[in-house]
Amino acid sequence: MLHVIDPGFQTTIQDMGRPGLAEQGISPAGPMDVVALRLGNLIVGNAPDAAALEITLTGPTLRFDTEAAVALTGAPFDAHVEQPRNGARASQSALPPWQATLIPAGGVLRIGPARAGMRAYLCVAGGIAIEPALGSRATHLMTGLGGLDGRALQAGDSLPIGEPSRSFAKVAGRRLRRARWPTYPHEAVARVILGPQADRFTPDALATFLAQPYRVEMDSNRMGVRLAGPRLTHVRGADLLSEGIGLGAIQVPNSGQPIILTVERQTTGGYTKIATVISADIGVIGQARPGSRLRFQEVSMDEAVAARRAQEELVSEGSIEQSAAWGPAEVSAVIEAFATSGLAEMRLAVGGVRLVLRREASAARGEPPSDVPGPSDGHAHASPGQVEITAPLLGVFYTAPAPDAPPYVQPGDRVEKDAVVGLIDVMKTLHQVRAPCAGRVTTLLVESGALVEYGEPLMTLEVD
Amino acid sequence: MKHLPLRLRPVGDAAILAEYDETDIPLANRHVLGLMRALADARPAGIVDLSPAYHTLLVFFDPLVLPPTAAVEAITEADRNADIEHAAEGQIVEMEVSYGGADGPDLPDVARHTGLSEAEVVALHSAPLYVVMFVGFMPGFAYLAGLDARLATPRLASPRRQVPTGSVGIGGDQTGVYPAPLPGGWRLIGRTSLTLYDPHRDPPTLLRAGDRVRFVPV
Repeated sequence: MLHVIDPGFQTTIQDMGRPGLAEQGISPAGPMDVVALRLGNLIVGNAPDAAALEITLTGPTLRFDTEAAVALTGAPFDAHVEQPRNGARASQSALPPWQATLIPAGGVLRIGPARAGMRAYLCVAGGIAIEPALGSRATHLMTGLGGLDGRALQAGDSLPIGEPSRSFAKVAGRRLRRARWPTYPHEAVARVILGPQADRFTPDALATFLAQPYRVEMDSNRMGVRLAGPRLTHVRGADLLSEGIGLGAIQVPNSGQPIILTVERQTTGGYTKIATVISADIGVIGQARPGSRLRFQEVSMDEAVAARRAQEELVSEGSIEQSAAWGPAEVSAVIEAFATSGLAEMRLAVGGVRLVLRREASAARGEPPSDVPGPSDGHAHASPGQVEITAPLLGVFYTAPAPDAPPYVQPGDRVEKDAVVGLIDVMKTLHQVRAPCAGRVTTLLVESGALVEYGEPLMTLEVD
Repeated sequence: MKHLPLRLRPVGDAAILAEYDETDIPLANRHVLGLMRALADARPAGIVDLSPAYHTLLVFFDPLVLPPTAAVEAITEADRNADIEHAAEGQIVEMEVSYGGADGPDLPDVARHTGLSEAEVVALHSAPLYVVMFVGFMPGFAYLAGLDARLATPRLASPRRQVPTGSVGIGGDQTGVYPAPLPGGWRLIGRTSLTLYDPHRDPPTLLRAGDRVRFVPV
């Protein structure tokens, strides 16, 4: 069993989905980044359609009550494993991505925020073995179908793990070759085939669509990814008689702002579609992080099919290697992971290597208020005696509970520890931002309504 | 019956939109249903999903199993073999409807707008054998052909926040049944106790494209 201690922002059970039900009005659901899910299943020795966890923006904390082999694939998330030890303090180790790692019985896996991209997949050898619904375990959030009652995971949920097909000893250390790791750039390119209604747009609109970057909006979800950018102008309006909607279809309503329809889309709809993302690049859309940019590149049908073939090559045993004894590459990967993690200290003994990493206290994130960050930590706005309040999540920052309400705080206001100082809207859910300690607000660094990254400074506080 | 010409549009590399002229929707829809049936019967390897609508059928395929050119051939072949004449002869579903009152709060509005009595509205609405052109938009929502033109009534100016499951409504020149509690702007004239969508049932939807529906007043 796998127990959910903290569900993270939005964690759902996904397998390859349930195609074949469009005729009944049911879209397939399944993963937003199918390649990452399939690679994860390949690494841990599962069938390609085994169910795994799709993790969004901020990951869950999970406890395993039996030994398990797991692989975390997709976007890079901070992740580490706490191993229980009799009597002594628990030890921690970073979870290497794209690699099968054993988690001991009683181990706790903490998956933090995504450093880039949008979604990761936690594949467990044996798969998540809940009862399927209509032939699939995939969660369809919009219609409440599949997964656990059709919803995202919640604290207290327990998930059964299936029987692994191979022994843990054979699986442990299997990993994706480093050269084949996908990248998650801040400006990604998605290849498209124009149509089905490219003829309903002006030549200027088509040229603009293929030339200009579009920003990914915060209210994107598993149904569709909303974009903002230069307006795309129709000829003869945006409406048409309702018709089936393809995966990756880019519809443009009257606003002229495109929406890419994804795995939980409505099966039919009545807006014109300027282009369709090719099947090999659907995962690029699934990894499009709010605030990042997408560009579109037109390709031919032959190029699209060739890209899909190349992707099949990637998702094959030829991409997998067995991790060798620990060498300089492994050590530097651990140091890299440590540098971007929130950990203050890490000790690791593996493969004949003993590694002790320790961070200077002043540079660590999430320190208690007595540890005031100094000017040396690189934050321009922080000075001695001041702390920055940073965004706990990626999202849209609001200074007030409603557009016409007074702001939570203004410069000069005094706040108590844990006082609410703002809100962050992440995909239509609101999260409070709280003061880490008592003090006086000195500067607001971000305007209300701005998109903020995880960890971005929002305001400074003069500590009492 | 004349056979309408077929037009194919690519929808990426993994789907093709088969389209018939939309001038005569019931005729075009019979072509869609005939094509869907012919494809389902032929079952070419690599076709993974079919999404019918008024005058189109979206055919999803795996381009590694069925390359796009082969998918075009399979669809064209199925169009040639499609039985248009008998395309809309699925099961007949009799749907008991409690018209008016709390179940159909907008029946008086529809009567007022159409200049008919409430009894005449019910009689006209329950007379035809409607054809399910397709199920789409959301699980179990059936698009019906056959509403008497005299019953056409504009949608509510501001939609209801939640329409009860099973509500029978008129929106413009269309009629339909809400398969789940949803916000909606159709004029509600009655309600059925039949379950149109149940994810724990197989198949989950009561109505399928090509089925026929008769509303029976109770």
